[in-house]
Amino acid sequence: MKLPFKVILISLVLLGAYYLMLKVAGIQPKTAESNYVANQMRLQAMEYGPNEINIAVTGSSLTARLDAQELTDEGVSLNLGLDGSNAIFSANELIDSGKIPNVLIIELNTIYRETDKNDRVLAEGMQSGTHKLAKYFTLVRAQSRPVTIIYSKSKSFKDSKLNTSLEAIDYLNIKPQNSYIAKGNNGNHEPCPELENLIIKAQEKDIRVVLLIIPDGINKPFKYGSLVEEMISKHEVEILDMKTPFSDKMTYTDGLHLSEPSAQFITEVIANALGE
Amino acid sequence: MGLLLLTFLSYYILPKLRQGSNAQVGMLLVASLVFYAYETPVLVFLLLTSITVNFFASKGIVLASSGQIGKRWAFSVILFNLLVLAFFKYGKLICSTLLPTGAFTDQLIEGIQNIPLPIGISFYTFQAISLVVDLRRQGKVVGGMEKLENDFHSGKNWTSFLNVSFYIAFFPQLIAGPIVKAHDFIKQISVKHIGNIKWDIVIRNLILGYFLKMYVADNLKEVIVLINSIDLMGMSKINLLVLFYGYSLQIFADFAGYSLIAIGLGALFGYTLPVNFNFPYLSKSITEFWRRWHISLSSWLREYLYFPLGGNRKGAVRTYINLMVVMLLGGLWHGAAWSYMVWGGAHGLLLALERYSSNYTSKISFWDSKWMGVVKMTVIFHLVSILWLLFVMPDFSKAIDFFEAFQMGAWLLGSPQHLFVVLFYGSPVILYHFYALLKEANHERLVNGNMIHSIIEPIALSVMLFLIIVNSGTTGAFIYFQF
Repeated sequence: MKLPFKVILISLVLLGAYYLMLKVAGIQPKTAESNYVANQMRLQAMEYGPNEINIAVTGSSLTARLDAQELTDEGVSLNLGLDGSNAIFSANELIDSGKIPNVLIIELNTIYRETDKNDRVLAEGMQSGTHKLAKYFTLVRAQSRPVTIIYSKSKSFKDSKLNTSLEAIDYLNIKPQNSYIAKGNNGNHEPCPELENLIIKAQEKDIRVVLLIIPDGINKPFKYGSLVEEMISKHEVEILDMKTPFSDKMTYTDGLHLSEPSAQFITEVIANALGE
Repeated sequence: MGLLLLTFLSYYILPKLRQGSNAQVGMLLVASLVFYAYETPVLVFLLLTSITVNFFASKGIVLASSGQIGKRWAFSVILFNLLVLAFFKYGKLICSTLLPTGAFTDQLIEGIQNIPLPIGISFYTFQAISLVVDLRRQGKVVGGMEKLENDFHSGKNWTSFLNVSFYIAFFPQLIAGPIVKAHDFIKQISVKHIGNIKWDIVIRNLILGYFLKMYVADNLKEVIVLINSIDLMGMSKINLLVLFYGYSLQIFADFAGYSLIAIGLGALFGYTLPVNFNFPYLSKSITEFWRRWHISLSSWLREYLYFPLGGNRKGAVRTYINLMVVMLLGGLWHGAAWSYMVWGGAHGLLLALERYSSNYTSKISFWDSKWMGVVKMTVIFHLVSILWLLFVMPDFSKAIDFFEAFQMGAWLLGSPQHLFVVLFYGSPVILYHFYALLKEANHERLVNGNMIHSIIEPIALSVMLFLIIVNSGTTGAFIYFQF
């Protein structure tokens, strides 16, 4: 048999075996070895997932660590925390795609981050041939990449050693608030029209908007408190501050991002807070 | 992909409908021009101008009634080619260096900056120069140009125009090489039949090429891009080393990958393009490195610049001067920045030092021992990699920052994510070189299937194809497109 036929045959066998293995084992990576792949994974989950979404978390790599599947028992929840980006891009992508969640969580820690280039690359990536092909062939989706799976599993293993005594922390009384007192700044903040437009757009579609401050390992109060005050007073949104009560109790992988056990804990707190 | 498939099918149907190679050549030429015009259509006019001018000059050289007239034709068209290259590629650098500072110069530079750099201009200009020089030398130094000469003499203007155009614009190598020499290519132009395709060579080159580009280089790029986008100060030594080695692996995978794809596509249409890389990181000297890295460029520079300058035939001092001139210009060929010239100059200096010291090293008994070979390979790899920093950071201050950051950084792991990416995606390049080292292989043996066991080879190629399909990086332009 000639070389090209042998190569095609063996490749088909490899692809088939790998597809079956992923199906049977149900392996899904949570993180990826590069920002782009991690973001692609989350955007593809949005684009090719079901239309009915209960809770969607939008933000940066800080929120990307949260385990979306644990956020709700009812329906589907999505994590659109994008590395190197902020909530504006992913939340707009979600709403524009026509997939309207019941609850939209907007992470505020990175809301002022300049994301032009990163978002442009992501938007271009979503137009690429591979991305479109991924709709029909799950094997070419970012979540099926073998190296990404190896990275994610090894990172989970490494993070599991960072566990703290999180069980002892009482969080049952943490609920979204309709008021907020700024501690971190003196009432001055840059205008953030993108956030305001996003809130208006979401509320027009009857989406419940919850602003989120996530523990970020920075040993200072949240910087944009006055922005929260303004958004609450103008648009009657809710706020979930996870940083003030929990920041010093969490562990971080690089001084900034939550370790997997801590992210799991924060996920539980958010799920409890949003539960009726 | 659609264009390629359509071109392939029509290309091999044509010989059944029309006799002679003109139809096939014309068809591939049109496909090449469409491919070239795809991103910036207007640039195709520059390519066509270059083709037309070089065609008429070639005709002038061949039909010249005296050697003097032929020489004038050759001189004029080489000057034209170099001026076009200088205008589009070095206009800004020349104006900012030679003209006095002022509003007029600023306006001029701004105007030049707005002109898009014609993609592949450095490559097709060198091929055009090779054409006129080979025609001028015909009968003296090289063979292989008889077909074109005969067409000119017998007044087959259309055929010769098609062949000249096809040689300059053949799409697999148009944008980033390998740089083909006229005497190697023109003689290959003939009617091609589908039954003569060497599928094993096509598949080996295409799979290895796409694997190096899409799996290795494009995935490494996600981390290596940080070298220019984040503040290097504060990074750990290990993190900086990861970026340093990562770029060496990326630039090899990116450029060697492109060259292999070009060679594979050339073979698909019945043309043999020159080998461009031969396990360069196994080099034991800088001289050897340039025989293994971007071989088509170094061979072009040797044949059309170093030898005409006198090579090593005019005494030791002239040899060193010639080496420096060739490497400085070779550096500048890569881009309009002083850093490229410094890069070329540093390589020239190392070549000169090597040449000078060889009188002494040849007397050392263990100099050619196996273990000394490993030491030499390690040293050369690191020297080459240090100089690559000028490629990835053409801004000198940034390159200096890198070394300062390295000096100040701690010996900490830093981001394990970066280390993971470089280890995982860079390892095929390391294994590729190690395998060649163990097997004492060269690239010819690899693509001809004489290097790997007949059972292992299809498995290795299939695993590469599998990884191309399921684990490619983000699509990105080839690094050498910018040159």
